[in-house]
Amino acid sequence: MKQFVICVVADSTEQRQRLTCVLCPHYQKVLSFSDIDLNFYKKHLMGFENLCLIVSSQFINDWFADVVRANHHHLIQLADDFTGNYRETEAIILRADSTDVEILETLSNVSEEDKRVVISSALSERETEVLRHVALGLSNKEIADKLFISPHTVITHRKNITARLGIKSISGLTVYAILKNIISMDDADV
Amino acid sequence: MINLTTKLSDLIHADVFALSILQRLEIPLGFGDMTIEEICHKHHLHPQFFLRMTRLFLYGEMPEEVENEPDLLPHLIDYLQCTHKFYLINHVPLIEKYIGLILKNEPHRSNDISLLIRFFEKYKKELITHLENEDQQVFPYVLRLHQCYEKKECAPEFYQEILSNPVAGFEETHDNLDEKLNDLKNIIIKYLPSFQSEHEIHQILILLFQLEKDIFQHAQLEDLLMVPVVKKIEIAVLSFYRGGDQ
Repeated sequence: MKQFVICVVADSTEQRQRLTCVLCPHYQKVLSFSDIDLNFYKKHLMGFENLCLIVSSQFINDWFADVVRANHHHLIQLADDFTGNYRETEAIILRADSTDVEILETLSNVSEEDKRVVISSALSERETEVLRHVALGLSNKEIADKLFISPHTVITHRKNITARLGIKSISGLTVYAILKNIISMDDADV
Repeated sequence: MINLTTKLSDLIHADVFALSILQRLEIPLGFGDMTIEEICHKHHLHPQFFLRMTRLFLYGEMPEEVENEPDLLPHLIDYLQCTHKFYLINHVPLIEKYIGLILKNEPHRSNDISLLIRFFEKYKKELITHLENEDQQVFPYVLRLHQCYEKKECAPEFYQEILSNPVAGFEETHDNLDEKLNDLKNIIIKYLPSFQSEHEIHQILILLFQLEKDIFQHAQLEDLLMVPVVKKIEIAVLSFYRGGDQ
């Protein structure tokens, strides 16, 4: 067991849970948050002696990274399309040393299934939820009723999903949802 | 610029895609220095149609003033039918063959490959339905219309058919068949974990790119060449109808 506190920050619950599951057996303590800013870091995290932050790219800017570095903490930025293998440069190591490499290797050695969930961060939590229902064959109206949002909002989410993934058809979105374990193959009509 | 005096061999050197046009028109290689006009004469093709179609395919050049050339229609329909066969005999089985080879090489990836197979199978069904509708409904209608135009006659039941189901209906409902192909490309390029059978997966991608481009241009031929001519002669043929006197 390594004497490190790992802090996972990602807006997708699924991604947070997966990363936490993958890292828990290897590290002393694994925390996870859906959001982070500099004040939060200073107030709650700066006091840890050995801390490694694994953070989705949208939460990080140069200023934040400089403060983390100044406190001798490790910072791993997950690119939007992080596939779990740092050697393919999908993860950007802002402060590389042997510890960063070890942590990334922990992520890289997870099963194919786990890696796929790690990549599903391309979509926000809400978009993932909409995609799940689309892939299960629900209409915009049915999705709107289930998620307590307007059909217009569902359409907007669907447009964003299509733009982000480059997939337009329902069959294509269903295949994507299966590949990322958002739905199971048995639930789908591909 | 391609014209009737362009050598067919130069056309192929300029763009290898011309080969697939020759393949579906069943023009064999070994034609020496024959020009487009000579080749068309030899294979009973309409030279102006060949020129327009080639310019559209190779340079994206939109056909102009086609409305006054209804004699293009039988050649165009013949070409479109050949193209339908070409998709089903060449592209689709080749893609299936490469998917099968990947499955054979990497049986442990059967879940991912079965996703590919199911997605492509669904697309194939959609493609076949689309092509069959054109082969069995649209093209026979266009050919009959052309025949009536040539003979300057219009039987009562055909008069009703033109009125109730003109080519404008086909134009409105003409499906976009390249959307799913683009999705499949992106799934393979971006989201499927990589395969060890690199050659096979690359071949699938190349075929998908070719098929997507071909289908897009095929639809352009129908929308930009066929539909305007048909609309024009529909009006002419309707005017040949003389009540119940025929």
